[in-house]
Amino acid sequence: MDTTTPATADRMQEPEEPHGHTVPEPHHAINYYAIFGLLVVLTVVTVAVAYIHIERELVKVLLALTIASIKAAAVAFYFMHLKFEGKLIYLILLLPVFLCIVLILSLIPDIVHGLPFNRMTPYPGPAQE
Amino acid sequence: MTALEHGYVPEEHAPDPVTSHGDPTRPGKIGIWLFLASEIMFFVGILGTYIIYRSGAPELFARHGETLSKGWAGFNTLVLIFSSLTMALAVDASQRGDRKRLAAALAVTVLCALTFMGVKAIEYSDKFHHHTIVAAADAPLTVKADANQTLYATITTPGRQVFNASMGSFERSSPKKWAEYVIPLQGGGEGSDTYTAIVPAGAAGPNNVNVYIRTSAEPTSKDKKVKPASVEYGGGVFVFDGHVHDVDGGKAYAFEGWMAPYPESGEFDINLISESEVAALPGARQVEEDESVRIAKERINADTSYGPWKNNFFASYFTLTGVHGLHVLGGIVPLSILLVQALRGRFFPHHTEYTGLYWHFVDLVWIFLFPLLYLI
Repeated sequence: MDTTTPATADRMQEPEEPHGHTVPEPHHAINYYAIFGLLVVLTVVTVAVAYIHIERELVKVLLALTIASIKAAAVAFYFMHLKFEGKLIYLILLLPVFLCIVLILSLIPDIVHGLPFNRMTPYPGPAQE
Repeated sequence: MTALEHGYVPEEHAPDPVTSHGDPTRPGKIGIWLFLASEIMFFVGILGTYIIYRSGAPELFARHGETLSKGWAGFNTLVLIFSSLTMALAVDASQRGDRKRLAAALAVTVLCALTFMGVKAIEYSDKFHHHTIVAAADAPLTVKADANQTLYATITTPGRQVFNASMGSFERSSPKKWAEYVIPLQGGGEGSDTYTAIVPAGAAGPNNVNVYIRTSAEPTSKDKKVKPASVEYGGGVFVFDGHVHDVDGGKAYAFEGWMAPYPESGEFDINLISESEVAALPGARQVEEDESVRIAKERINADTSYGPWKNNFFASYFTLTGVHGLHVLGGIVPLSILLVQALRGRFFPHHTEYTGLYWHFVDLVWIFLFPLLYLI
């Protein structure tokens, strides 16, 4: 179990230098407040962009997804320390992301109207005798 | 020697002095990332459904999306992003062994989570009180006639149906009998030629109702009929879209929003109608709360609230935000456990880190949900 015993002091004891292990630092120096500031700014941008009138549905969706992806990248790489992780973690993430994109793209021909494969043609009327 | 005996926490990414490739990733960390990978697929399954449904009915989705509150959702976004910050600070504090900072950061994270759920409860309750209804309602009656008279109105509908005030319902009267329901008209004093009254909710029937203006409350065949200059009766069937709450011991709704006469022709599905459509109908008017418009429940023809049953947009919205809300609630459990342990002076750096990863993921999902549901 990774616990320190309840100590009278609030801080951990200074470690000795044990057999060939390195002196630990708790983490890489990340300015969490700066990332938070970036996230707030991007949220404001997201809301501001919503008030710009855009005709095409596809452009609206892509723009929203792009800004959201930048925010997601900031959270993932810095808050979740993904920047410092090894290849295994990236591989674990890559597969579902790929599958998700495939899932959405494969359903589009079924439901989305107005594309070359889902254009509606006028009903020709009942069959003539 | 174990970490416990060393008295410190091994660094999560310590460079290996032999191979310099870093410590092998801990199984716990692989485990939590595998869980998050499956959660990504779970959420994208539902989110992808929303995107596909939206592509199939973009106008419906955009129109119904307008009924959601951007303000509350924006506030919730900032709350969740802030809780992500405090979570990262908590992970940091647990690795440094800083008990006070850890407890404070965890406590703020839990508070943010509870705030998020509170705002969600407000949003949901607001939606469940928002109804689209087809019914008859209190209708204003305006009569223009000679001034300084005392006038009464007798209401009948074609087919000699008469509103029985004590029963609260329409019933057939015999063709020979006069209508039994009479209401006094107000006004007509000081030379004004306008008389008004409110006719309580009647039967759902055709819009053309007959109004007879008389000078006596007791209509008999010898009664004097008045020929008014004009009669305006807004009676009949209406469609309402707005907020309702129970009044009269649950027998009626008090309504606030938009109402319009029920369109005689064309397709009309209350599940596809939102407030903007009702406002665009001919004869629509906006009803303020203090106008006390009442809809008697037994006179309701069709009624739906803005819940997940209304249409595809709301089904997607409630599924997405509901499932996300459950994830927030679930996250409060490990956060609280870690908080209690921190207050007792016990650290769990690895567990805090894993909880942090989960919490950041929950924030990530919301970062995608917010623009896709509320803003486009």
